[in-house]
Amino acid sequence: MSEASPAGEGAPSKKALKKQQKEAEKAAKKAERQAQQAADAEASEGEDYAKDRYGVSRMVQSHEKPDRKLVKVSTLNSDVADQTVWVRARLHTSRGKGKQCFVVLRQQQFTVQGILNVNETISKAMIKFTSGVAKESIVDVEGVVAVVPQKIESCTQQDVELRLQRFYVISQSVPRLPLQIEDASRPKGEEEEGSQAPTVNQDTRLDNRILDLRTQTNQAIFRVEAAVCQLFREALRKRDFVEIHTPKIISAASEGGANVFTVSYFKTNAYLAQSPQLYKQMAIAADFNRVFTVGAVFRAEDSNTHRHLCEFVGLDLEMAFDYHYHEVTDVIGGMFNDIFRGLRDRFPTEIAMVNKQFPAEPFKFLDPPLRLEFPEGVKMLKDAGVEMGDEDDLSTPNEKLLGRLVKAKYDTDFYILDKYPLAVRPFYTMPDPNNPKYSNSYDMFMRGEEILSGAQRIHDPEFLSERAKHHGIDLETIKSYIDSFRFGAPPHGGGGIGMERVVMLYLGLDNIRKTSMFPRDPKRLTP
Amino acid sequence: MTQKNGPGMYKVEPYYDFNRIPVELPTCMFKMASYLENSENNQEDPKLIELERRQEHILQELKSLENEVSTLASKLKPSADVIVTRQKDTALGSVIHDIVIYANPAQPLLSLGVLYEMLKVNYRCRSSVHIHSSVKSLPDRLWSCFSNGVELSRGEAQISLTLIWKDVSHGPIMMVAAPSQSPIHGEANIARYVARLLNPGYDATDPVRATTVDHWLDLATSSLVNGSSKEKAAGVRALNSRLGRCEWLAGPSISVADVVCWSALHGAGQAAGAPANVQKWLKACAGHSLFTMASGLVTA
Repeated sequence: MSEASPAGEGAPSKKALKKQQKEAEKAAKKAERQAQQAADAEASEGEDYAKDRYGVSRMVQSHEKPDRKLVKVSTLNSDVADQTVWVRARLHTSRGKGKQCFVVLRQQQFTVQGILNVNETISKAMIKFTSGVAKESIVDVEGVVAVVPQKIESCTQQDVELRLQRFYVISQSVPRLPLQIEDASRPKGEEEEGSQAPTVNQDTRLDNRILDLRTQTNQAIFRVEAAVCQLFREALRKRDFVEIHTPKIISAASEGGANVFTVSYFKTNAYLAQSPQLYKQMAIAADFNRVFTVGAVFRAEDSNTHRHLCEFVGLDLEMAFDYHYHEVTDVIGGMFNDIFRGLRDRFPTEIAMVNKQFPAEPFKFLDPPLRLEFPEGVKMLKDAGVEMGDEDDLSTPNEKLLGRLVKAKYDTDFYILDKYPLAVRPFYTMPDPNNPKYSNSYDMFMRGEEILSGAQRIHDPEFLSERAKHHGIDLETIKSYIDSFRFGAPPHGGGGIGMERVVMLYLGLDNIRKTSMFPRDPKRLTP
Repeated sequence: MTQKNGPGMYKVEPYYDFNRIPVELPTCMFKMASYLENSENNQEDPKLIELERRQEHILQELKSLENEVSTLASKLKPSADVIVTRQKDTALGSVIHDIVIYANPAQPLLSLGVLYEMLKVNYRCRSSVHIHSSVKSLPDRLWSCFSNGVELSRGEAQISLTLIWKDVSHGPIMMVAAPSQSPIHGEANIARYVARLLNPGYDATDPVRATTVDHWLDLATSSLVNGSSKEKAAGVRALNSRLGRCEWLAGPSISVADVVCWSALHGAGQAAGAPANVQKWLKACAGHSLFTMASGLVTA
C-alpha cells in the first residue's frame, strides 16, 4: 500500500487511512449488531438460567484439587446405568439440531455418545454453545449414564449414552483442522452418498502426525507395537537373557562401510550404529551368556520402499549355545511364538480395531515353528516355475512367492529358512560342517517378508581372519572385532529384528511408515 | 531340264546316319571326377569299422533286452505300467519329500502312526508335530505321538511327515506340493497315497488286491466314519464276515485296508462291542509291530 504514498513507509496514505476508518466503523457496527442480537436472544429467552452449566473454563494452572473423580470412557456400560459421572474427553463431533445436540466424546480409542435436550435446566443458549465448540477440543462433561434401546453403531460404547448436564471446555482446538479424524480413520474404498468417501493420504497424515495418531486405528497400532516390545522382553527374560545397552555412536562402520551416517565428533568423525552386532558379541565374549537389546538402529540407505526406514528400533539378541546352533533357532522361534500367542490372546481388541480400517487375514503360526532348509525352498520355487540357481540368494519377489507357497502347504505365516548358501552371507558366518557350500545361517519370515537374519558366528579368531581374507576384507579395519575373540569365546549365534516390520507384518499393513510413530526416511526428517 | 521329276536327280546319302554311328549324348552339363571314388581307394576306415561293430553290439543288446522284457511281461501282466512307475520312484529326488497332514485334535488320526511305521521300513523318515494357531491347547499324548525314536535332520531324511494339529472340520487334509495339487481329504485317501509311495507299482503288480483294498477303504470312509449308526453296524458285519474267511482284509498280509479300517473302527467307537472275528483281527493288529505306536494312542 506504500506504493501510492509519496511519504513512503512512515505514514499511511490518505486512502489507506480512509479504508482503516471504514473498517473500524464496520467492526463497530458488527459488534453492535451482535450485542444487539445477543441481547435480543436473551430478551426473548429471558435470563440464561443455564449459564453456570457451560462455558470455557479458566486455564488449569493447578489452582485447586477438586474432589471430582473423572471416569474413563471405556468403563461406561450398562453396569453403571443411571449414575452421574464426570468425563474428560475430546469432542469428536457435535451436531446441533434446534432443541437438541448430539456429541460424540472420544478418549483414546473409545467413544461414547452424549446428548443435550433443552429442558428446565438446559437452555437453548447452552445447546448453541455446545454445538459451536471446535472439534478436537478437550472438554469436561457431567452426565447421567443411560441405557439406549438401540445399539449405537458409530461408538465403541454401544449400550449407553450420556445425558449431559454440564459442559466445560478445558482446552480449545483451532476450528480448522488440517485433516478430519473421520477421514483419517476411514477404510479405503468406502462409499459415501454414492461417491468415493474422502480419505487422507500418507504424506498429509505424516505432516500432521499428532492429529493422525489420534485415530482409533493408530491408537491401536501403537499399543500393539508396545505389546511387541513388552512380549519380546518377557519372552527373553523368561529364557534367562540379560538386557544390555550398546553405544549408538561408534568409531567404525559395523557391517561393511556403506550405508552409515557420519556425525562430527569433536575434532574427528564418528558413525551412527547400523546394528549392535559387534557389541552383542562382545557381551557374549564377556560371559553374559544370553543378551538382548532394544534400541535405535540407523541405515543411510537411500531406498524409498514400503519396508525401509533410515532409523528404526532394533530388537537384537545373541546367545551362547552348547553344541548345535539349532539351540539358537529354537530359542528365537519359541520367542516369536510367545510374541504371536501373547498378541493373539492379550490384544484381540486392538488387532480387531486395526483390521476394521486395514482388513487383513489373521496371523497364523505353528508351534513349534516350521523350519525348512534352503534347498527345500529352492525346490518349492523351482516346482512353481521359478528359474534360479541352487546357491542364488532369494530375490524379494521370490521371497514373497515362497511365503505364499509355504502358506499354501503348511498354513503358516511364520517360518524359518535354514542353511543359506555360504556365498550370500557375511564373512563372520559359520560354514556348514557337512557341505562347504552352505552355512549355519537362517532367515525368518512373516507373511513372506524377511524379519530376522541371523547365524552361528565364527568365534575362532584364526578362522575368522581366514574367512575375512577370503571375502577380501582388509584385516586392519576389523582388527578390534577379531581381537575380541582372542581371549576365548563360547560358540554363539543370534539375530536382529526390526520392530516396526514385525508390527507391520503381524497386522498385515502395507507400509512401515504406519508403524513408526515419527518415521525417518530419505525424504522425511520432520516432524 | 527334264520334265521327268523322278525320284530324284541325285541320290544323296544322308549326312548323318543315327542308326549306324552311336552318338553319345551328355547326361550332365559338366563332368567331374567322382568324389566318393577316392575313399574307395583308401580301403576301409578303422573308425568306421569300430562304429559298425558298436552299432551291432547295441542292437544285439537291445534285442536281448527285448527278449528279457517279453519273458518278464509274460510272467507279470500288465507290463506297460511298470516302466512308468519306475520313473515315479526316482521322483522323490534328492530334496526331502515333505508330506503335510492337518488333523483335528478332537479326532486323532490313528492310522497315521501305522502308515508312518510302514514308510519307515522303506525310507529314511523324519516327523514333526506342530500346533496351528487355530488350536489353543493340545493333550500331551498327541504332542508326543511321533516324537519317539531318533530324529533325522532334514538334510538326511528322504521323507518327512509333518503333522499339524489344526481346527479342520471334515476329517484330515493332506498337502504335498502346493502349486500342483488341491488338498487331499480323508484318512482313506491319505492311505491310498502312502500305499503308492511305498510301492510305486501298486496298481500294476496286483490289480486284484489293489481293488480289494480300495473296496475296504471305501467301506471305512462311507460306513464306519461318515455313516449313520445303522450303516456303521452294517459295516462291522461286513468286516466280520470277511474276517471269518481271511486273516487280513486284503491279501495274505497286512495292508492299508487293515490300517484304515482299524483306525475307523476305533474312531467310531465300535471296537469294544465288535463281533468275534473282528475282535480276533483287532487283537492281531494290536500285536503287530507296525501298530505299537498307534495302539498307544488308543489305550491312552
